[in-house]
Amino acid sequence: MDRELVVSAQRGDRVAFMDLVRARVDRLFAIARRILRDVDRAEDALQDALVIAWRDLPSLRDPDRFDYWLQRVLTNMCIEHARRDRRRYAKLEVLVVDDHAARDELAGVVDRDVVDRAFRRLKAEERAVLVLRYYLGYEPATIAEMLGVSGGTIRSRLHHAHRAMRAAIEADARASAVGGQSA
Amino acid sequence: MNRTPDVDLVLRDYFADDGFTAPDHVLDLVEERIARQPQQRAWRVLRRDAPVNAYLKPLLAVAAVVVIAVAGISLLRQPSNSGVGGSSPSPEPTPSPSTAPSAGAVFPEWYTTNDLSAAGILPAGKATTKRFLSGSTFNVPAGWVNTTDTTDFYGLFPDTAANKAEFGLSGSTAQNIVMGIVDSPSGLVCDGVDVTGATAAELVDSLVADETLVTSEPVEVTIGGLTGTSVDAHVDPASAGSCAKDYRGRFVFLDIPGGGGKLLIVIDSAHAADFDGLLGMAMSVVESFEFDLSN
Repeated sequence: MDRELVVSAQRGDRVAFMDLVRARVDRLFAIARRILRDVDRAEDALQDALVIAWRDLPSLRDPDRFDYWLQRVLTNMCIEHARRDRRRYAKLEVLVVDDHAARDELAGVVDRDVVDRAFRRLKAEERAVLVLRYYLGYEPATIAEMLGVSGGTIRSRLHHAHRAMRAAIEADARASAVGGQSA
Repeated sequence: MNRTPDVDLVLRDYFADDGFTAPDHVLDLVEERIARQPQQRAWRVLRRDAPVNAYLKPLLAVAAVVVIAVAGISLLRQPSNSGVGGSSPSPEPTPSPSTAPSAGAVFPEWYTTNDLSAAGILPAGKATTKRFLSGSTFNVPAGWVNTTDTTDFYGLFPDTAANKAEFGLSGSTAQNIVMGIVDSPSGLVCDGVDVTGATAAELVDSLVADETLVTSEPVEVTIGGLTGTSVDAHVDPASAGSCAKDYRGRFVFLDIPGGGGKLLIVIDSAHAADFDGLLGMAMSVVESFEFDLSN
């Protein structure tokens, strides 16, 4: 079904394209919001990515890879948006923390806010790699292909992001331990 | 007790779906914008996906791009004149190339392709086509990349910052040289621009006559033993419609003797500001071609 829609959209059928987008927009928005950490910019990047996707859709060789291709366009657009105005990083919105009590138990003693703060301190390129790896589940080799960089670069970004996240989490754990002892 | 959590587990938990919902106006705005945004024209599609795979062929047919079989060319013989190949090696070779889709081909680290016909980064010096007018040669400075080499099309781009930036943004390069064997190509410069004619000169006349375009004075050219006509064209900025106003292209039509069709060479830039610089790099490559029509 989707393949037919993709082929129709490639031939200029805007309704087919919007049907494809409508079925994916929430997930795409989640990707953009996670990488950019800002609702307004996530909306802007998502819009731009979808327009670029429409423009370039005829170049998609394998309609079955539409989702992968669209995520690739979006991820690169998010990185581009992040690079355009790094000054705004200081004004980034802190995501509303939903009810994650159960998940926090699963993750051990880690406060979700701590993870969130550590994640926001990463570069957009590193956030993108983490989103592609842990949210979308892509292997590093696929991420390298999506972002047009080498596998070594992806492994390096993953390593750095991991190290930064671990450092932040451990620092928070130490602070909590000290606070707990002094209380 | 101070437990150190598994970062993998923490991240998997952190990225568990939060049920983000895109605001309705996002879709509304996208719908409005794509109504004004044409899809890439046929020639541009063809340029970027020149391997002409099983899917692309019917797409091209829909786009009304008529490609004449190269088999016809085999009937033709034309002694080649020597082209003049200067060099202006502005492109920078990529220091850390990426893996290639085919054995031996290496590409800039920022570029990815599934085109198995591509030769990738070309060494400076004399290059030879494998499939497109097989055995044709040209001189290339360092920093040029072959993106496709099929019986119907041959593509090159310079490894420039502009191309890298555009590829990162849209997945396509902004500055290119593409050659193809054509009859009456459509989608040149913009969707809906169709050119017709029996000769290279007539095709250029047809392009010049299109009122939506701004064109230069046509110039007679001889490249690699083939004669034809060259013209620069872009969309009239005052025209209505949604064609890309920033696009600039040089279109060189060469007659293949004996009714073998026309060889179209397009040197184009998605951005007007980069066009003259591209021509400075590209024309020496184009003018150095020696076409082999013997196959």
